[in-house]
Amino acid sequence: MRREWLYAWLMLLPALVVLATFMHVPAIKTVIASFYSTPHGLRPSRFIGLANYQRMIADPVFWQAMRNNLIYAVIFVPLSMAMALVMALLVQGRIVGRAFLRMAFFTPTVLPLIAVANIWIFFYTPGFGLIAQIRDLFGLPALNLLGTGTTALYAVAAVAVWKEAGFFIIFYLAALQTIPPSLVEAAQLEGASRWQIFRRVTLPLIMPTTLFISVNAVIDAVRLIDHIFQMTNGGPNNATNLLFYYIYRVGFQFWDTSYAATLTVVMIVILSLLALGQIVLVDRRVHYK
Amino acid sequence: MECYYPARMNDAALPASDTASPQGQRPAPGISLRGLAKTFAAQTAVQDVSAEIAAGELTVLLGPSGCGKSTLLRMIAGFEAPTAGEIYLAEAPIAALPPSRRDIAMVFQSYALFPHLTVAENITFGLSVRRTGKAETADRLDRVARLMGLETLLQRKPAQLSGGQQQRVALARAVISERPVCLMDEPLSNLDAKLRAEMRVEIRALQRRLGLTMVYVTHDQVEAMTMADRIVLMNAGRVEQAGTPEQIYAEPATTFAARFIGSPPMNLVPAEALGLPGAAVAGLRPEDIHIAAEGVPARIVSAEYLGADLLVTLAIGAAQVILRQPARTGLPAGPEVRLAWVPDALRLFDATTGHAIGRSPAV
Ligand SMILES: Nc1ncnc2c1ncn2[C@@H]1O[C@H](COP(=O)(O)OP(=O)(O)OP(=O)(O)O)[C@@H](O)[C@H]1O
Ligand SMILES: [Mg+2]
Repeated sequence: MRREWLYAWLMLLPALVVLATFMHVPAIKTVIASFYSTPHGLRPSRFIGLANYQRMIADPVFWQAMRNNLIYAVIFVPLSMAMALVMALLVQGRIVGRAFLRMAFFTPTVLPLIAVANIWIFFYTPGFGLIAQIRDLFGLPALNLLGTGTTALYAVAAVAVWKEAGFFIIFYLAALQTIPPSLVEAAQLEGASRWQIFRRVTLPLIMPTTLFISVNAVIDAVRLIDHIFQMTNGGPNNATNLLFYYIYRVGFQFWDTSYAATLTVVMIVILSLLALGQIVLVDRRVHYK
Repeated sequence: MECYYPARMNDAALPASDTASPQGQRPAPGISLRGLAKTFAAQTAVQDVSAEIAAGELTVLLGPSGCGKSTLLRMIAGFEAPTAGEIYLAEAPIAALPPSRRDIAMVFQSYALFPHLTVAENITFGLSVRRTGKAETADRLDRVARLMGLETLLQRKPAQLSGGQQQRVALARAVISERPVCLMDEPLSNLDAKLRAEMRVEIRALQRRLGLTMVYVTHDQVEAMTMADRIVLMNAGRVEQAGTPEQIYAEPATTFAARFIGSPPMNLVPAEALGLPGAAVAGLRPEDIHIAAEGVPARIVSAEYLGADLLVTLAIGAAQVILRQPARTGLPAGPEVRLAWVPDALRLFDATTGHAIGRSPAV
């Protein structure tokens, strides 16, 4: 009995060492750092309690980033998931050019987000970008989507949706493949319409996958910021400043590492609570096979 | 766990309203298949099948694996479009109609129960899709649940049911639709032998009681013989023979039919081995041969004891035959014996085409 435990721990050890070195220890260090001041030249770091957290609550840019991120997530999560599901439903059936469509949908996933950003800059650029040219064609006034405070956030959210929907398709395709065709036939025989089959058979059966994707999408809504560097740098006037991007700025441009650690702790707590909430909430309504 | 009562469907204790089922008001139509064919990209699954499925009867589609039974059934249900031919339901062509408009119920081999719905929701799925009223739905569910003995299982999920119970739910879903035609594709193949025997009786009783026109696919000849009003025997996408179980057993139209039905199957030996003239193939059922004082000389090779019966394998020259006799009759001492047979029971087949000689190829 004791020997088995020993073996089990020995087996787990390599993974544990790697995880601890690169995840657990830094995570704990981050939490500790958030209670200390940032060292400056001759002034070493010292314990300051919750001062960093108080500063955060009073920081208008933090709240703007939070608000931006909320809007970003509210656009990104449902839209990327819905698009993935619709496209998966489209390419699962027997239609002409299925292989081509699948590839086309999947391509954005293969590209790095930085490259995707460059493609979309071409779409958005005022004057000669694709959207500008189309607007021009219809005689509409010029529009600087990325440079205008009211539209920039939506413009960068669209890029993230375009990038991730192609990735989520794969999970939905796999889930759709596990539904036995006879279930759909049984429903057809009963006179169920396509919408009824989707609502009452397909959708409930892919719920576990939907839960999995939604957890991932929420994490992505916080994580996907690469294109901000390329497209807006958080501007104009913090309109596209997202939480994670703000952490980067504070940590690696202002070198205020303690404050960055504080923001990181808050971000991780929010993400954990969201994931937990999703799983608890949805789990009750998900049918696992 | 639950017990199974094969006699439940005939239960006299059920209220009279159950017996006067709505199927009784709507006479079940017959189905007529005319020149049906189905070719998939690489292969022909069904070719030129014509058959009559009589109203209110249980017709079994029987044949070896891959002979096109499922494909034929799926064409009747509307899940496959025939490459050629037409299907008539009560004289109306239906081959162009979608499955839901054919007024046909089906029980799938895998049952096709919705895993996320309860038994009650599974059974009433069709009613709710067709927006049947709450009161009527409850009423019909109640009646069907009692008929199938599912009253206590209505709130369970399919995963919490035994194979036999799942089978009952699948049947209940077909019955509640009150459609007069019911198709079944190997509905018992996932059950163990004992349950299979019980469900056979149940399904047959249900079909009789509701007056359903039923098309039942199986590759199990015992199922076919015990349940069928008529058997359509298929081989390699064609109808080999159609008729009552008795007809097919007694008058196999081809050597294939002779070998497929009966256990052990009909003995087929060259006619000259039995001392008969001509180049035909002679067929004799094992129970029609007996050891006698006079007759064709043969040698006992082995004997298999089955309790009531004894299966004796004998060599007649190069040919082998099996005979069945009551076990208590016993065997003679030596291996050398003489064989005689009931003259009426002898069947002759053309050696090249395999068709029965002196009878029409398909009854
Ligand atoms: N969708 C399909 N595409 C291509 N070939 C098919 C398809 N469905 C069936 N076939 C072929 O058609 C033939 C008949 O198949 P079918 O399923 O009707 O046989 P079956 O008599 O039901 O056999 P079993 O007893 O094993 O179920 C088989 O050779 C099979 O490979
Ligand atoms: Mg089959």
